[in-house]
Amino acid sequence: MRNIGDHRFLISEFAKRLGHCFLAVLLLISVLSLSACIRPRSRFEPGVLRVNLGTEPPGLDWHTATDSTSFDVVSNLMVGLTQYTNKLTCAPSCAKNWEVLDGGKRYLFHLRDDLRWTDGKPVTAYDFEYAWKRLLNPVTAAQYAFFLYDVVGAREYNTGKLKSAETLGIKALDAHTFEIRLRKPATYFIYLTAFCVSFPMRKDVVEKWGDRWTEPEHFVTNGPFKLTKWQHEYKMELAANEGYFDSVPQVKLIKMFMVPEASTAFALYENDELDFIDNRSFATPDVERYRNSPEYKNFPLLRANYLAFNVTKKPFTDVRIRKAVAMAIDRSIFPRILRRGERPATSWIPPALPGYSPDSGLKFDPVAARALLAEAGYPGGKGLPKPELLYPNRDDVRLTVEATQDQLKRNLGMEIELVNQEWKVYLATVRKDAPPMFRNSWGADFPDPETFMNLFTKDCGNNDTKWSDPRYDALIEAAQGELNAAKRADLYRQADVMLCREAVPIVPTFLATQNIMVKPWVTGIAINPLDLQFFKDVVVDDSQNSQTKYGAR
Amino acid sequence: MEIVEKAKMPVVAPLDQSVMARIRRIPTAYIALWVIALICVVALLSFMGFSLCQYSFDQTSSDFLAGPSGQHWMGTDELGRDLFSRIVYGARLSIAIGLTTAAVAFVIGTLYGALSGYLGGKVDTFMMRGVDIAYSLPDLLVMILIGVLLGRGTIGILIALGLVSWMGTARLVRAQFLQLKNEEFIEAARAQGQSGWNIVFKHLLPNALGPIIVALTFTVPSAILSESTLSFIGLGLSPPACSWGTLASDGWRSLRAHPHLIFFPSLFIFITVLSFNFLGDGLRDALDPRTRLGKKSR
Repeated sequence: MRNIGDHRFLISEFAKRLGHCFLAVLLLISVLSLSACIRPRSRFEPGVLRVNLGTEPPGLDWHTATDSTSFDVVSNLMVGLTQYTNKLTCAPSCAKNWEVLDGGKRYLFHLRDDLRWTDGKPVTAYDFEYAWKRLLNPVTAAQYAFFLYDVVGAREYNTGKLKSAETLGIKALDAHTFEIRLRKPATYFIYLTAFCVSFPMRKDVVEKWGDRWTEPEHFVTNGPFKLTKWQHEYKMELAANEGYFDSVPQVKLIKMFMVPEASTAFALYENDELDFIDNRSFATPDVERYRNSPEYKNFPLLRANYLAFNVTKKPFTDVRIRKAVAMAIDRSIFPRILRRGERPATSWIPPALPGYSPDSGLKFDPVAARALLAEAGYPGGKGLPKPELLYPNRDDVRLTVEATQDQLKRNLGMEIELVNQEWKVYLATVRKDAPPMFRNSWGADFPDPETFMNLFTKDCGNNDTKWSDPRYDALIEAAQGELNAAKRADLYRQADVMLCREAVPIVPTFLATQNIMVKPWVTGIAINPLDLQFFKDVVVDDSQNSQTKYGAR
Repeated sequence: MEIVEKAKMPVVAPLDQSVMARIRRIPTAYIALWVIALICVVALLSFMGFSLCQYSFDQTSSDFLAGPSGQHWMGTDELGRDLFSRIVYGARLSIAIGLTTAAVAFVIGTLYGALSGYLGGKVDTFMMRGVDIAYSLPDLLVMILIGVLLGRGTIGILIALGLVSWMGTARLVRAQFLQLKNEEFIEAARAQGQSGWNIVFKHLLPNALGPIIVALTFTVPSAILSESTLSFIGLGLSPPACSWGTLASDGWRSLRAHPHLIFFPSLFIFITVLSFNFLGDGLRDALDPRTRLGKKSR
C-alpha cells in the first residue's frame, strides 16, 4: 500500500533528476559553444584542394592501369616528354624540344637537364627507354601496349614474335637524348608522348619494390605533385613537389577522397567539405538546382556513346536491319532525358576533330527505316526475333537504353529485350560473346580521329562487334601515315562513312559532357575535352574577395 | 457419452464465418482487408488488360519529370511516363510476388515444420539441420543461382523468393508443435484414437495458426522489397516492365529534386505493408481457438 507521502517523494526525486539533466545539458552546450568560439570552422583551408575520386584507383602503375580514376591521379603525379596545353596541343615538358626526321619516321627528343625525380635523382632518357620497353614487354601484360604499336618492332615484341627488346625502335642515345623510330609516319604520334602510359619510370624502384612500388613510401615520381599518403578506400594526399622543374604548384595539398555514393559526395560539397566535384559526384537532379550558379560548369567531352551490333548474330547479320535501327532513333531525345548538355551524334568522328562531316552518318528517318525493314522481310517489325540489348547497370545508361527501346518500338515496331549487368561482368560478356546489341562508350585518349577510328579495325582488341572490312582497315592504315592534313581528314571521313552509313556495325548516339562544380574560392581548374584533370594551376585562396564573402563563419 | 461430446466440442470448431465476423469487429483489420482487396482487384484488372488511366505504363511523352497535376495524377518520370499508370502496372507484380512468396512460405514451411515438430526425435534433428543449412546460404546467392538457372522473368523471381523465405516459417511451426503436442487437448485427441493427420491438421495447426499468420504478414513486404534487389542486379524484371520495388529504387536517387518519384511508390508499399500487418494482427485474434469460444479477452 502506497500513501500520499511516497508520491511526493517520487515527484521531488523526479524534479531533482530533471534538474541534474538540465544542468548537464547546459554545461554541454556551453562547452560546445566555447570550443566553437576557440576554433571556428573555416569553409576551406587556403592552399588545400579537396576533391572526390569516387572510388579507390585500381592501381597507380600507369602501365597496367586502364581507368580514368587511376589516370586522374597519375596525371598530377607525373609528366612525360610533352604535356597538353589547355587547348590540347602538345607543349614541351620533359623534352625541351624534339626533331621529326626521316619524313616523320624518326623522332629525336632532347630532354631538359634540370629534371629531378622526387628522390633527387635526375630524370634521364634511360628512364624513358626502360618505361617504354616495360610497357611493351609481354610480361607486363599492359592493355595499353597497343599504344606504341607504331614503333618499329613493338607489335612483334608485345605479341611474343620478337624475343629481344634490343631491336625495338626505342633508344636512349645519351642521358638527354631519346630516339624513337616508327614503322611509318604517324602524325598523331606526338600526342602519345603526353599520355600517361608513355611516362618515364624508375627501373631501380620498380624492380626493388615489385607490386608495392606505387605505395607512398616507395613511389618515385617527377610531376608537380607527389603522393604523400594513401589511406586505401578512404583518401589520398598529394603534396606540391618542391623539386618540380616547372613552376611549383600554389596548392600545397590535394586531398582526394573516395566517396562512391554520388548523393553523399554532393552533400559533402554542399557542406563545404569538398571544393571540386564532377559527374561522378552527383545525379542530374542534384546539379540541376545549381544550373544558374556560377559554381556550375558544363563542357563537352570527346566521349562518344554508341549502340553496337554483334554482326554475327541474327537479326543483325542483315545490314538493312542495322541501318533501319540507325535511322529509327531520334537522337535529340538523349539530351532531353539526360539533361547534361549532351550533343546528339550520327557519325563516329566528333565535330571537333578532323574528318568530321555532318553527313557521314544516317539521319533520323523513320519512314525510310520502316521501308528498309520491310525490304529485309519484316514489314512493321512482324516476325522479327526479340534481340537482347546488353547494358551496364548505371542509372543514366538505363534511361538511354529505355528511350532507345521505346523509339525502336514506336518507329519500327521492333521489340528489344533489355538486359543489364554489373560493369565488370558486362565488359567480360561483351568481350567473350557479345549479345546482338550492346551499349558502349569510348573516350578519346588523344585529340585525334585515330583514337576513335582505330577501335573498329580488325586487330583492335576493343572491337567487339565482330565486324571487319579490309577496305576500312586500309583506309585507317593510309590515314595513319598520311602527312597532308586535308588528305588525312578525307581518309578518315571516308572510313567514317563506311562505318556509320554503309556497314553500320555501330550506331553513334550522343557525345557526353563533363559537369563540374567548383567552390568560389578555387580558381584555375583546367578543363579539357579529354577529361584529364590537371590541378597544377589551381589556387585555393583566402586573400581576395573570398575572405569577405565566404570567410570563416 | 455426454462427456465425450463436450470434450470434442471446443477443438473442432471449423474455420467458419465467425472469422470474418470477428475481423469485422476489429476496425483496423477490417479496413486493411478492404484496402488489400482493392489493391488486388486493381492489380487483377491491370493484368487482364483493363487500364484505370488514359496512359499506358510504357507510353513516353515529352513531359519529362512533371510534378503531380490533373493530367498526371502522380507526375511523370525521366522518360515522361505517367507514374500512376506505372504504379498500377507495378502493383500486379508486387502483389503477386508478395502473395505467392507468402503462400510458398506457408505451404512448404508449414508442412516441413509440422512434420518435423510432430514426429520429433531423430527425424526432427535431421530436418532441422536441413533448415540450418538452407538458412546459412546467403539469400542473395541462392536467388542469383536460381535466377541464372531459370533465366530472367517473373516465374524465376517468384520461385527464387519463395525458396528463400520458408525456413523461418518452418522453424516457427516446429516450435509451436513441439510446445502444443504435449498439451492436454492433444492427449485427449490421442486418447480418442484420432489419426495423426487429424491431430496435426485439426488440432495442432489451428492452435499454431496465429503466430504463423503474423510471421507471414512480414514475408509479404520483405518479398516486395527483395524483388527490387533482384531487378537491380539484372536478374529481375527487364525494363520497361516495373514493380513497386524497381520504381522505388529508381526514384530514391532524385529524392531531393523530384520527390514524387520516390514518394508515391513508397506510399503504396507503405500502405500495403501496413495493411498486411493490421490484417495479420486481426487474423491472429480471429483465428486463435483459445479466444474463439469465450468472450474476447482484452
